[in-house]
Amino acid sequence: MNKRFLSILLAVVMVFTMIPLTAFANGNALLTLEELREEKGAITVEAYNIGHGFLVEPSLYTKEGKSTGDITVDFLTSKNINYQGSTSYFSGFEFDDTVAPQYPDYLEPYLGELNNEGDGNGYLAEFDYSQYAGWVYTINDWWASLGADSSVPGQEITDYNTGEPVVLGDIIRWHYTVYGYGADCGFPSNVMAEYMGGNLFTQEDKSDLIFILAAINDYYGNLATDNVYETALAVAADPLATADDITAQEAALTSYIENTFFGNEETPREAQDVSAVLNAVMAQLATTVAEPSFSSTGGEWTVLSLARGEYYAKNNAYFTGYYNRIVEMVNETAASVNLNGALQKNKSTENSRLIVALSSIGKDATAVGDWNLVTPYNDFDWIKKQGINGPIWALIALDSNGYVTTDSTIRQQCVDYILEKQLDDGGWALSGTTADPDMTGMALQALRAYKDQSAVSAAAEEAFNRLSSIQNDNGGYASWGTVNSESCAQVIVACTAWGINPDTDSRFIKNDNSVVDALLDHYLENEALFEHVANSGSDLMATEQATYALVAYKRFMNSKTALYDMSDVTFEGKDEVVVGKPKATLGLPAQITDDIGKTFNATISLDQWDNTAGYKLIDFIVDVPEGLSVTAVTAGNRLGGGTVNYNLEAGTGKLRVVYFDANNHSDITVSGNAFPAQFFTVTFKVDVANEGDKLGVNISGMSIKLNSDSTEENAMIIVDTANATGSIDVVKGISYSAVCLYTGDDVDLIPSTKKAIAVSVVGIENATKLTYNDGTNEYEFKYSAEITEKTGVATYVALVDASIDMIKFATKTNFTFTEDTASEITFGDSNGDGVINAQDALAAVDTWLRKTDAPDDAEILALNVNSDSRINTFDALGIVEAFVDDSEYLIVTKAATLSTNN
Amino acid sequence: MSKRSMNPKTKKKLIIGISAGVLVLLLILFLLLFKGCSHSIFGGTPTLSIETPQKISKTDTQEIMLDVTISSFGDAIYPAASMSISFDSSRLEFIGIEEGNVFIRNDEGEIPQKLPEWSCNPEQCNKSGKINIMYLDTTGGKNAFSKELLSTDENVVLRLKFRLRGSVRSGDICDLIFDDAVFAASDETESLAMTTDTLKVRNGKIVVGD
Repeated sequence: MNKRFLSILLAVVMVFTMIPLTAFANGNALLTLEELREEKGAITVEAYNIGHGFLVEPSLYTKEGKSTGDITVDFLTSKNINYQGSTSYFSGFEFDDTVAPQYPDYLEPYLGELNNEGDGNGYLAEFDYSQYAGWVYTINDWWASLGADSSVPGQEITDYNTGEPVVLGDIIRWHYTVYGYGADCGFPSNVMAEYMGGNLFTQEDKSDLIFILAAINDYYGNLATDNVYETALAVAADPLATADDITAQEAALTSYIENTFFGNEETPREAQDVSAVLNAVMAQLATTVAEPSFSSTGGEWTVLSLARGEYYAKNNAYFTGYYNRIVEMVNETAASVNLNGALQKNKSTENSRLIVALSSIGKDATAVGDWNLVTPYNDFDWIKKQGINGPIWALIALDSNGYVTTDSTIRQQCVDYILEKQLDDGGWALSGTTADPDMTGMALQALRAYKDQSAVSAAAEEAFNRLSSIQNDNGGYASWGTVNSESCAQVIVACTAWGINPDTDSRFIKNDNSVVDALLDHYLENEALFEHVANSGSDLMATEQATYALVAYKRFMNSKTALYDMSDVTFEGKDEVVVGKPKATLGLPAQITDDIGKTFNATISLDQWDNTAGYKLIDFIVDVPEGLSVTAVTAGNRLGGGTVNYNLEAGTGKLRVVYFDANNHSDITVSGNAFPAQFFTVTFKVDVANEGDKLGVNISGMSIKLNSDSTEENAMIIVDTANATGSIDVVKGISYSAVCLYTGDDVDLIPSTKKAIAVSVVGIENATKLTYNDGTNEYEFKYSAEITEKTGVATYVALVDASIDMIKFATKTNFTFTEDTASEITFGDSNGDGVINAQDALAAVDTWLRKTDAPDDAEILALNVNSDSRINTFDALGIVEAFVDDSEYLIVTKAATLSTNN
Repeated sequence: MSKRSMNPKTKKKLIIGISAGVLVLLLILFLLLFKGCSHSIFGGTPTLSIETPQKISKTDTQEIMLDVTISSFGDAIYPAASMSISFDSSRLEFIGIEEGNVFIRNDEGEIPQKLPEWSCNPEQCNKSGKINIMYLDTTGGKNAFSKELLSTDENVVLRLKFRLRGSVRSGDICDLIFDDAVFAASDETESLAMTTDTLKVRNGKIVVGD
């Protein structure tokens, strides 16, 4: 029993010995820094003027009304440090005064008057190292020119210089001076220095930092496994430390203390969700920059934002249109510059900007039109011609898709160049010696991929400290003296690249304002755009940078790859890139009945057309399956300049179609801008078909001809018909097939819980009322005359629960139909008045602007004419285009094409 | 009570009095009708008109410009507008539109000096025989039509440009007929629309002479 009791007692004692007793020095709950400072001050002994920093690291003393001299004696005694002199004047402190001094640069002019060692008496004392040498002290930033026994920290005295009363602080610092009676200590309040030609520099007030260091030393304990304390101590020991650096270290130490010792008492800042702003600004950006092209604004940055923000899929017409324009531009510009694919002789960032955007949409920069945009990066002189911007963006561009340079040293040359340009304050700038937040942020973004290099990680740590120290009270940044949104954006992108949350990391929060807060301060909600500086109005460049910064932040929050880390992007193989070649698609009904005489349609669409090319003729062949005949081939209503001629060759089943103007040889034109555009409709008739047959239809040999001279280059374009193929199932009686047209994504008014589907029904009269009921869900479908006319099969649409398996909508038993007439949907007719006009286009705009109530299911179906999961101004423009150009809505094209591929 | 004949003088006064009373009643009725039905009877309903030009010679190869005018707007602002006009494309070639003198609100300053940019595809119009024109302000009303921007003179919304085709003959009348027209407000009940009779239209025509 006794043994057991003793073992328990021993265990308890052991546990208690592991707890830092200093933290409970006053026997009560742990004091906060503020509470501690009510009771304690700090004292140091510093020899920075001979390059030895602190003789004794900052320590606490108890505020008991003692004089500076007594406090010093108590302090030295507690540290077992001997001294010379008295409480009035300390002439020396114990120190090996034979060590070689390392004089700071500001003493360089006076080296002739300084010695290389002391007198060797074991004290760092007066007249060691120079005739002026000796110990002086300050209390906070007040220069004490009176005996140490005559000053009492915290008490009011009359300032000997001004004659004014002054309340002394609580931080006692003993400084070893070697020149100018303290001119080498840099305290403006030292009037003696004036007699020696003035201070050699100005030392910033470090009182608070020294107190925190002392608190960690003597009260809280330095338990950190990282080097927070050491970093701060180095700054405190540096007489030339800037106010920004000092403030940053204070913040870092305070954060360390709070997180380590008071972590459970504070609610950590919760990272904010920027989705609402991001969604709105991406939508506005997509509208504002409707046709991005090669440009520093309204071009690559918009593409990057919308691609990495996943606003559009990378195969969206928005990006394919951009890419087509880029191919054209690259072919012209690179040829003009004639420098291995460089787009500018002196600015490599032109290539880099484009490569980054191309990577974001999965396009290979080594095969853009006729050019390889990566080749010029083998010339480092070209890369750096415009200064540090060049190597920074070269790295970002090359790493966006792991591009290989022939000269394998290029990347390292860029890294080294960037490191070489790092400023003494830890940041980077285009010019000058003061860190610029934009350039510092960009340099960090570029270096992220090289963090395993120790020089890079060390540089990054300094740079982030610098960024923290130059952050404004509102969380924002100034570049070239102007507080602006773009600087915030670059810092956010840099932080997220390095795994730092810019909204919660204490280094980037000032007065409870994070850099994300500061960026959002520049958001103009009414316009869904950002401003450059406060009250300057919306600005496209600011909006682009803010958008991709928010994209970077959201990706970080969602644990996705960083903004410029495109490893999640699927790139097209170089062999797959078919630049400028039109592609044909075929629309077919998924099913037809075996009813003899029944007709249905196949539609043939092209994804592009050049009205300026002067094309005269289109021809192609349709493989018509056995059992079908052709009753008509008609041209789409947007196609002009020719007439259709066709012939179905008996025996082979080859339907040959040609479209041209035999009399006037007119150019073939396509009105409107929306693509794909329906070019032709082939109407088939069922002659013989049996249930279970699968009828394959295939388009081949499609060409577009410029003239009759077949030897001339570009006289003929072969259309890519690889996807213009499909099959139709022959069924008996009534049969259903279904395709999903889109699913909402919660971004613009269509919830992700809903999807739009089209159900084609063979074997019933068109427009018969159709109801779905699977026992859980019930929907009344709307009849679409537009899709029906296109496919020749009765087609209905509805907005349904996204979780319902599509197979249920192709299951006969889930449907009932009656002889009543179904309600009909006309895409674009938002108010159902039977007329599509400006009222409907405006409805799309107002709905997106949230000026009207959230649309109901019928309005969603009618308004989302481009079938892209969102209702926004693209739908408004789609309605305008359909009205003006008589073009088909994309949702109709999609419904027919999906049916083919279902 | 005995019956007696009325004095002729009194009778005359009575007739004059009744007549005057009837006239006053008619006047009051007229004024009430004017006030209450001004939209439908006295031209208060905004009217969109195609101004018919003078007879055109069949040999005239010049462009024919027809103004499309609006008489007034309501109190709302109209961020969108459209019109569909049928014409005989075998006798008229539609060349395009020219700007009118009706301004839209200008979000770049106080002076309303901005004209709307209408969307129109003449090639498609000639193909279909229907002129479809639309204006859409995507800024939420900053570039909308509104009545304070109308002038007191003729307000030309836009101008239609035509050319006679060689197939026209003297005596032909080429009608230009509104199928639909709307000046759309965000609140649809405030829109001016043919479909709801809140916008009247006056069709135009081109008469071909020798």
